[in-house]
Amino acid sequence: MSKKVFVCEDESAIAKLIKLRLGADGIKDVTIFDNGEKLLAHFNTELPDLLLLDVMIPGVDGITVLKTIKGDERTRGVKVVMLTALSKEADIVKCLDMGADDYITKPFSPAELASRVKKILR
Amino acid sequence: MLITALFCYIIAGKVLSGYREARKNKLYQNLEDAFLVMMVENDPAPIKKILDSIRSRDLESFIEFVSVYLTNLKGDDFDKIVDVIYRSHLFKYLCDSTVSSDIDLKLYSIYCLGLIKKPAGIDNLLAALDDPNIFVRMAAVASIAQTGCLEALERVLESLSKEKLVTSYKLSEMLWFFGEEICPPLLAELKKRDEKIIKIDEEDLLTAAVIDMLGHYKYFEAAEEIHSILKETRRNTIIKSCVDSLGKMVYSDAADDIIRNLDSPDSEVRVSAVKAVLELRADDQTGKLKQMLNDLDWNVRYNAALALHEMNFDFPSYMFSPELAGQELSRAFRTIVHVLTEKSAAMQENN
Repeated sequence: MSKKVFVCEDESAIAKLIKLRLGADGIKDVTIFDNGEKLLAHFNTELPDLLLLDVMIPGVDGITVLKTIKGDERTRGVKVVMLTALSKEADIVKCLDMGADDYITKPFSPAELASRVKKILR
Repeated sequence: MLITALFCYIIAGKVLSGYREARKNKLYQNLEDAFLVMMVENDPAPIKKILDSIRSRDLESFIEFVSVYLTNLKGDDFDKIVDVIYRSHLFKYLCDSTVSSDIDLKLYSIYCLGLIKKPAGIDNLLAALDDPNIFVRMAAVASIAQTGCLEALERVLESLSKEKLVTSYKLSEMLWFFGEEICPPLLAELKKRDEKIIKIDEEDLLTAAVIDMLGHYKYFEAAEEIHSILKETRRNTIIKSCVDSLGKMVYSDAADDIIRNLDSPDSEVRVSAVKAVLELRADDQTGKLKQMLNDLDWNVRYNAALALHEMNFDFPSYMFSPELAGQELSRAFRTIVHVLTEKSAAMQENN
């Protein structure tokens, strides 16, 4: 069965690149969200196997979204990979403490990102 | 007649702005499609064709678009993007635009050359250090730093040493762009103390920024030199940076000189000394830190309380000890309550 991935990233060019890169690596079911509110609203109807979540998104920030997801029994099982700026070490520690499964620092290599996502989904 | 002319002017403005917006959106869409084909399908032909068609009037839009990729990506995809730009006529456009009379275009081009990180753009960026506009000069410094070209560091430092309106935070930020490799040449500058770039007898922000940077990267090789500057200088700006950096490096040889600065007349130096004492885990300073809970400066009191908290000081017992009995409105008591409340709120939030 194919895996479902949500990408929450406000830079549309980057989100599309991630979607295509994952698609090229066999992960075809990828949905993009450009802010936290839309993502959380969609969680009420459908859950992904993995969420790629940027920390810096408009509206509800990535850390709050992560906290909401990991604090709800229904959504807790969704694997979350955070996208964060390299300089924000404190953010990384906070995300991992809050239950993120992995993190990728920006700037990032799309090929490496796809390989990490595949590994977690395996 | 006048009203008709004004009406026509407004309509023409709206039409023109709509046309520009549509043109920009079309360019964005074309660039996005073509870049994705290059990155995902390894086919550079479409993007080469589009880049060849871009003229100088679209340069700003192009930079705005491509900077999203250049700031977010690294690895093969980043290299592919840089390479295709470098091989197109756009790279020359960017270099030429660093002397444009259009200030926005000039700034955009300088910014983009920094993101592209090609040594071929360095001469243009160095020339921009002499621009009469401070924003252009600062953009040039940041871009040179982003290229990581350490050969240009001396020139950058010289340029920064002449700036009078730049804050110490901005100076540190500029140097930070160079990355960790900046430490050995910065230490060399520190050792030279040529009074041209490094000035320890003045409240010199650049000297302070250089020391801050070495501390930020915990470049231990510089600890001895910074310690000797700490002993030599009488300038609080420099003392503060030395104490901060030696604390971050946990340089215990400087402990006595750091502790001496707990009594500095300058409150910022006292704050730095408190933080350094914590880094050094100088538990024998607990008594002094307790005294500092009554410091006249709020930031000193707050940091003293934080340090004591980190050192597992028994605040509850202290608050009910004869020393603080009946002093609920004292500075020390209120600072302790503030820090304990803050810490317990943070713990609750994390749970």
